[in-house]
Formats: sequence, C-alpha cells, structure tokens
Amino acid sequence: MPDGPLRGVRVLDFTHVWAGPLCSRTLGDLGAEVIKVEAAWARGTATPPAASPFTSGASNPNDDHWNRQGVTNKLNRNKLGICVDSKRDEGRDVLMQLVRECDVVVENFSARAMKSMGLDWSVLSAINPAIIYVAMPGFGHSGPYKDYVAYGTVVEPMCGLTSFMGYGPDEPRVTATAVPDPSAGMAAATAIVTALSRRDRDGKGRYVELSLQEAAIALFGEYFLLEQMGETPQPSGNTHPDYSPCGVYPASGQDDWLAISVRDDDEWRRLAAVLGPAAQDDGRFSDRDGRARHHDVIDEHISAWTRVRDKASAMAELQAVGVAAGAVNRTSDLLADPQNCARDYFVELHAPHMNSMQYAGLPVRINGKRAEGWHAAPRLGEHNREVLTGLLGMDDAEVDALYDAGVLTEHPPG
Amino acid sequence: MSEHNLLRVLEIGTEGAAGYAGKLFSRWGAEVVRVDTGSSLAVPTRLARATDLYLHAGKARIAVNLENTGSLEVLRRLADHCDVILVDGAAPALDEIGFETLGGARSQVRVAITPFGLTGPHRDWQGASNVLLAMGGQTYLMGDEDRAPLTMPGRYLAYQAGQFAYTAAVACLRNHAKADDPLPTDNLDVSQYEVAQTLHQFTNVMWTFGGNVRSRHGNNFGVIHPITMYPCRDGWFAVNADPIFWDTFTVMLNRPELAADPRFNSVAARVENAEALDAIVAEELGPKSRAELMELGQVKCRMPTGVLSTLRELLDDPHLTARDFWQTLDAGDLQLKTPGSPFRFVGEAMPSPGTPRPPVDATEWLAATAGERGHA
Repeated sequence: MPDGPLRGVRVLDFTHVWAGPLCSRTLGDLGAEVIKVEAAWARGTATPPAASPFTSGASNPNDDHWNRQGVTNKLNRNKLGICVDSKRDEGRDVLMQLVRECDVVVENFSARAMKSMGLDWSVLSAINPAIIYVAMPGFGHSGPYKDYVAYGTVVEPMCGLTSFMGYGPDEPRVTATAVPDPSAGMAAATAIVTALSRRDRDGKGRYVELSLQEAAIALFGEYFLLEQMGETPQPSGNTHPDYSPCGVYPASGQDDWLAISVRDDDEWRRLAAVLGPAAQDDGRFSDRDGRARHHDVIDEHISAWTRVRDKASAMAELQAVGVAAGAVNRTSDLLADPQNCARDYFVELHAPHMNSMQYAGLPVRINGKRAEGWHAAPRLGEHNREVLTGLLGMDDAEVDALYDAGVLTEHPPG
Repeated sequence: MSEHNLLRVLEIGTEGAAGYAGKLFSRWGAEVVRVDTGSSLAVPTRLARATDLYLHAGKARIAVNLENTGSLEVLRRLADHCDVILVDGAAPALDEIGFETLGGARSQVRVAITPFGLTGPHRDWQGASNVLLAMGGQTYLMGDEDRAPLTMPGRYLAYQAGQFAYTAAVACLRNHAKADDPLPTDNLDVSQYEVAQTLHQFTNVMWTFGGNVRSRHGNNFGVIHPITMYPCRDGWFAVNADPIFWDTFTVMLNRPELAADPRFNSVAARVENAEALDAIVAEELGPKSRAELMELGQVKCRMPTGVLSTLRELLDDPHLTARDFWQTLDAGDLQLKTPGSPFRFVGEAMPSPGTPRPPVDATEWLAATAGERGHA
C-alpha cells in the first residue's frame, strides 16, 4: 500500500469522470486507503471500442480492454476496486456496511443521485456518525441551478475566467482543460483534510459540500475584487497587466514557441542584454510603464531573437541569465525532460493486466520521497473478495453468493 | 472550535502559492503570520492590491526588509514561534533566507513551494505563471491552431500549488498532533512545474497510451465535438454534447433528425463534419439570448449548457447569492464582495474572510508572543 501521512484513513470513493477521482487519487497518493466503488458499466461495455486516443496500452485488444483505458488507469492508481450493483438491496447493504468501516465518503454525482440511491448524508451519517461525507455537484446542493447538468467544460465560462481570457475582447477562449474540474478536485482534498483535522478534535462527522463553479471562482478571486475596484479585466492575449514584456513568442521549429515573463526592471535589463543594443539602449523601455506602452516594439525585438533559435536552447540561454523563460512543451516533451527525470516525477506502474506505463506523479515530495509503495489502478472489481472478506468479515461462500446473484462482478455488460 | 486554532503558520513569499495555502489555514482557524519582505510590500497596481486583499485579509503581517542587517535573524526568531513554515519563491531565494533550517526542530511542517522544486538541474531556474503553464504542457492546448498558443491569466497554478501544499501539510500535522512523542519536522517540496503536469485530464495518457499529442483547437475540446463555446445574440454559450448527450443536443437544436444523420451519427463523424454542424448550431441557436439558451438547454432539455458570464454578472448572480457564496471584505475605504470558501460544512456558518491588518513591528510581535506555548 502507498505510504504517506494519510496512512490509516479509509475512503469510500463513489467518484467518476475527473474532479472526484483527482481528489480521491490525491488522498491515495498521500497514503489513504481508497476503495473505489464502480458500477458494472462504469468502464463501458465488454464490446471492444473503436480506436480511441485515450485507450490503448493493450497487449491483446480482445482481452479485458475495459481495464486498460488510459484515463481510468491514470486516475485510479493507489486505489482498491470493487464493483457492486448499488441498485440491488444486497449491493446497497454491502455499501452501508462499508460506510461503517470508513472515515470518508466522497462522490461527485449530480445533486439528486445519492439520494435516489438511498445513500445520501442523512442515511450515511445515521450509520456512521463520524463519517465525513463529501458531495461535489456542479453547482452545489442548493440554489436555483442545483439541478443543472454540469460538466467542467460548461461550468468554466460561468466562473469568470473566460470573460478575461482570449486573444481580445471579441475573441474569448476556454482553457481546453475544463478548469473547474481540477479546481474542485483539489478543493475537495483540502476540505477532507480540514474535516479530518476537525474530527480529530471533536469526534464528529461532517457533511462537506462544494460546487465546481465556486471552487473555480476561488482560484481567480482577486479579479472579482478588481472588478469592484473599477477595473474590468479584458482578454488581452498573452500580455500581463503588471509584467512587461510578457508573451509567447515564435521559436524556429514548426509550431514551437517560447513563453517569457519580465517581472521587474532587473529582469528587463538581463533580457535586454541578451537581445542586444537596440533593446538595451532604448530609453523608452527603462521602466514597466514604458515597456507596457511600447509592448509591440519590444515584442518585435524578442520575436526577432527567438525566431532563429530552437525553443529549448533559447529557454536555457535566458534562464542562464535569470530571465523567466520556458518552452511551450508538448506532452511528448515531458517524459524525457531532465528536471522530471532527476526528480523521478513520472512514476512507472505495472500490473498483470497492464503494460508498464509512466504516469504523472504527485507534485509534492515529503521528506525527499514520492511514490513509496504506489500501485497500479485495479481491474474492474479486482478487490471485491479481498474487501468483503477482509473488511466486512464475510466468508467466501457469502461472497460467492453475491457473485452468483450478480451483485458483484468483474465484467462489464454486453 | 475551528480546526487549526492552536496552530501558528509563518508565511513568506510573493508568488501567491504560499499566500493561497496561508489563506486556507487562516480561514480555518490558524493564526497566520505573513512576513512582508521588501518586494512583497510594494503594491504598485490595482490588481496587486486586489490580490493582496484577497489572499491576505485576516493574517497578521510583519514587515521585514531582507536587505537590512539582522533581518535573517529576525526571520529565524519569528520561525521559532511557528508550527508551520510556508514559503514560496525561486529556490535560490529560499536558500538566501536559510529556508532549510527555519524553525529548527520546533516546526512540525516546513513547506517550500518553488517553480521547479528543491532538487534537479533546473532547481534554480526562474518561473512565472505563463512560463510554468508553458513548460507543463498546458499552454500548448490553449488557443487557435494557426495562432500563438494562449496562456491562462491569473495565478491558477500558484493557487493550485497552494491547495496541494495545504492538503499535504494538514495531513502531516494530524500525525504530529496524534504522536505521543515529538516527531521530526516534515519537509514538503512542492513544484509548480509538476503541478502543471499533474493537472492534465487526459493529455499525458493520450501520449503514453496512444502515441497522440494533444494540441489546441480554439474553443473546441478537439477529440469530441461539439464540446465548445458558440456565439449567440448577447454573448457566448457552451455545450458539452459528448456521446451521452448527442441525442439530447439534437432536441435542443430542434433538429432531432440529425441524430441519425450519417454526417453526425458517430464521434468521428461529428469531428470530421464539425464545420457543417457548427453552421446548423449558428442558425438554430445563434439568434437566442444566453438566458433563453440556459432555459432551453438546462431546464427544458437537461443538456449540459453554460453561458459566458462577466465578473459583474457573477457578483450579482442569483444562484451564488442564494447560496451566500459571496462574503463581505471590509477594506476600509471599500466594502467588497469576496469569494467565500470553495467548500462548506453544511449546517455551519462559513468562516469570515477576515479583515486586512496593518503590518506590525517584528520586535513588538516577538515580545507579545514570548512565553507562549513553551516558546519563551
């Protein structure tokens, strides 16, 4: 099992898609015992899918493809997996028994879902008054939008960011990463450790609620204050309101780019020395306001310099003199990156059902360590028997009966 | 009783990462002592003031000019009174203040949030938000394919790094609180570059599993269509018509026959014929207002639909208002609505964001603190 500061905390994980699994994976990376509960259809059907950019890594495309999906394996490392039919009384009973043995229940269904399954806070807290129950629907459990169908992609424009991100006022752009999902995923992790800390003191469980929308707003909070101070931020490409120059500049390779940010006059002097006399000696650029006024001229100087250099060497040259510069990396650039390699950031995990694969790690090292005892994501229902016998004290015959009744399974339908 | 009300946190840094983690500690009951160093005292712009108010209301503040002789000794004395040391900045700047020994053995948790981490060949490199988003693979995904990629405004990575730092630090603190004997200080090393890479949804596995490099497609998600944002009569609206919601979207379009149209009856077909589909959307939904589209999409069709809201609209939004999300921040000359906690304990009042506090002299603070909790 993973080692870490949350060792001893047990989490019953009903999450799906991204925000919820990111939260529970983070807890697992930090040492919590996470039991992921899945429905039989959670990974699709048994029919092999058409080619997908997300799912591969298979040695045999006709065998257990549902266990070899990239996103599933990425988000569910360090978890145990059970596959239970929660719509059956026997399945629901298994889940209720598990709630008694857990510290945390986390889910990110719509506001109605857990209630319809008979597994909402009022039920679970009656079973286990010390349980910490975390719900993370798109718009929360109250308010006029509570029943809206929410995905991070449609919540994002309702968080404020999109009103000031883009090439210009008439060209807003979204992030392409559904920012409310990872915002809420990490906010949920902060909520859980806070609730655990509180429970350590008073012994009481808590009902924690958060919305994707509010979690994302919180990560751009200063812009709401700025609006009230009389300044409405507008989309302005890659410029920065306080730093100048700041931009993304073309490098010599096809679709290669370099990001540069100059935060004060010292950094400008260092950059200008690299760019040459035309930039260095131009008095218009000596302070931030001047550089902001003449941003277009400076951008031309920088582009002339970057355009004839490859992004990696330009980055290294500027960093060597203390200028914040970074290549616009593709994902294919990251695995071999010397910094990532030196810090063992990507973690190789393997299991009998999976080829060995590299996964992005936890961005925190504790006492110099990361990924102690980490393991690959489980197969669908892989730990049914282990969890029910080990944690609930069932015998093999009882577990077999649940398999025979279709309450437990390790195979998707179809 | 609040969670951390026996805890004192020392916060140093100007990047926003330590500031956001400190904000979480402060909101949930810890006494956060923020050290304003020479550079962080400057508040030259309105955005900087807004950021300062947002992050640091409620914290005690002590001004320390690091260029003064003896300032490092002051920092060390302050740290000796704190349970958590929370610092952000480039690694060389942390070296200059002797981060690795701040707080000595008395500190329970010592957290460094740096651009690239405390080790590795790039440990001393300079990072800024746009640089770290770029290097972490996020920027390449944002913007139009035939134009320069776009960065994300704000301090998203820094605040997310703050959330990682807070989560790990509180996890460690629980173990210290439970231990019969004092535990050694836990040292946490948080890299914002790694945060950027950790927060990809499927970009990395598209490459490692399928050998495909994800790139940028304007407002389109790229691999499934339409997951995008379209213009409408009074702004923009967004839909998420993944395969589960495709049939529903054809109903929202009032064109149910499109569900079976061979141009659009599979994920691949919709990506292939995105332009034709977008033209239909523009014709059917483009003339409607955002309010009409939310009513049609969310209420009538139960289709994942959103609208581009301005900051002002969100400040007055009936949903956020009904949920008491906004709190009042008393900034003296200004009464401001500020975002509440991103999570809440149901049935309990949301803790106040606190009020901005003027800096106090370090000597005064130390004198007032002397003798507390065995730190005399």
